[in-house]
Amino acid sequence: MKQDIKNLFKDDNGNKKLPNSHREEFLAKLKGSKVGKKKILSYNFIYKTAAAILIFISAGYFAIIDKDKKLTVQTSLELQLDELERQYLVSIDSEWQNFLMIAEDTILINRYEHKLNSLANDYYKISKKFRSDTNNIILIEELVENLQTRLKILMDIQEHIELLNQKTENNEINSI
Amino acid sequence: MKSIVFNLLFMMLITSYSIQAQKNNFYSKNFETNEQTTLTINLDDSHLILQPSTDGKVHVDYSFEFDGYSKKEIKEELTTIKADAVQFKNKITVTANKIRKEYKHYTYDGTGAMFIEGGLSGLFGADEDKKGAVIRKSKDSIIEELRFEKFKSLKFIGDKFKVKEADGTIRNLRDRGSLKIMRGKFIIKLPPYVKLTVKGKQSDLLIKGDVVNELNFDLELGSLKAQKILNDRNKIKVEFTSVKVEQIIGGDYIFNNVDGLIASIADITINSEFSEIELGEINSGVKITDFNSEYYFYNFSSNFKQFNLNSEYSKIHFFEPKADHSFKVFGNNTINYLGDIKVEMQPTQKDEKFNMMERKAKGKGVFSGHINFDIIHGIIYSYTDD
Repeated sequence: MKQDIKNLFKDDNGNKKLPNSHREEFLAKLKGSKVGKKKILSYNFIYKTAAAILIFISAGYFAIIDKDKKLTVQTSLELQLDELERQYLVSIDSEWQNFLMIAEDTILINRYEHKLNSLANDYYKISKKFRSDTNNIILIEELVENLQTRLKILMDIQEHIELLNQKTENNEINSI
Repeated sequence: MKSIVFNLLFMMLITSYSIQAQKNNFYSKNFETNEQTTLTINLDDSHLILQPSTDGKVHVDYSFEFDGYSKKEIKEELTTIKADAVQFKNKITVTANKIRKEYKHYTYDGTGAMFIEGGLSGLFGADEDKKGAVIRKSKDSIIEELRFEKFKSLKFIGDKFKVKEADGTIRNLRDRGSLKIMRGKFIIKLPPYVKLTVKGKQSDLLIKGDVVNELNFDLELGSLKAQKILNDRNKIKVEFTSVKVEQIIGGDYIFNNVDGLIASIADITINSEFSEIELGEINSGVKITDFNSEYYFYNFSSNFKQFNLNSEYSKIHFFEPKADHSFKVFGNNTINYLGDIKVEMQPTQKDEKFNMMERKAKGKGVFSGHINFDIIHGIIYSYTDD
């Protein structure tokens, strides 16, 4: 039974031929196949798809409604706070620029910079806490106090420096 | 039939009322102690009252008052609160968080949106300007100010929160609407020999009575109110905190952004910055090192011996002691306002310190002590009774 494998392939190529009606037979099979699949799609698939779409639409609808409700609760207080924060930060930045213009003591500037950064970090922490507990009025107070503190220390130090700079050129020792 | 419906509605009304106003005893525990016992309290968003214990035990008690909350809401609120107290050998540790502080008035409208009475600008009005009318305060007047603070408070009376006016009269809340109030009371009683450590964030600490315990406090964003804090080994660090104390004797204090009103101090060192502190009476052994704060030295006792201040960029309101004393100001670049007189003390070319001002003792009557200011870039406002 031993054969050369090369001869096997030679025989196959030479003997096998497609029948003349092979196109018609293939088309008939293909047509029959399409008809069967169409029937499955029109019932099971469409029902499933419709159900899935309905579920998605329902879930989306309720999610949006729920989100809207939450947004409504947040807007009144948080919008007020956001606006307040924006106004304060503009003022703080303006006062910081004014401070830099009159302050000559680099140690003082560095100390204030460090202080303001520290306060900004505190603000971020409290703000994060507030976003997860928007009913807590105490946290709002602390946020506003933080902003007020930043503004106040900048205004106070400028007033302090201006008073010191008003001096005359006299260097005196006073004995009372 | 109508009477049945009416009775049913009436019963529902009574039932709903009873579940919307109640006091809840949340936690209660006590511990045996000895001379080696230490107590550590970790607070977050809490309001703690410390009181002396008379039976040698540490008592930990929490309770909550609810007004306007449904039974379900109360249950939900209580589930968010975490509190625990454990003892291991001589160490007791109490941890509490999310015991929310007393809420300000707030109401809900039909959609659930929140509004604050008076709005944000009304709620956070400008601070009282002390500079307009600086007058000498006595130690006793400050104690009175601390004990009878003129503010409105909410009292839980007959299952409802009511407003207690500054004059002591009680009135119902107007236009309650759907107002809801919750208040937690967290009380710890401890014997005088127990060493106490408190780490607090956004918490209020009220100390009732005389506290002689050794204290180690680290408080941030809250308030400290006390009658007497008396111990040389105390280490107290407070930041962004209101400090109101009748008397402090002994200890090291760090004040950062503190709004302080203290009637009397002795044997204390203070390191401060960015604070505003009023001192009613300075006694012996007081040293202050400061950066950029505003101090009010109203009075010195008749035997304060020596007072030292080292400061930079500070404002000092200095009220001349009534008893004989000496006064020396060393430093540079400082202004002294004495009534309408302005004394300017310029820096030297090399920014060296020098003896800027000196007043020797008059030698009349009892000598009370030496006052030494070492001050740079400072402003001194001097006041006399003349």
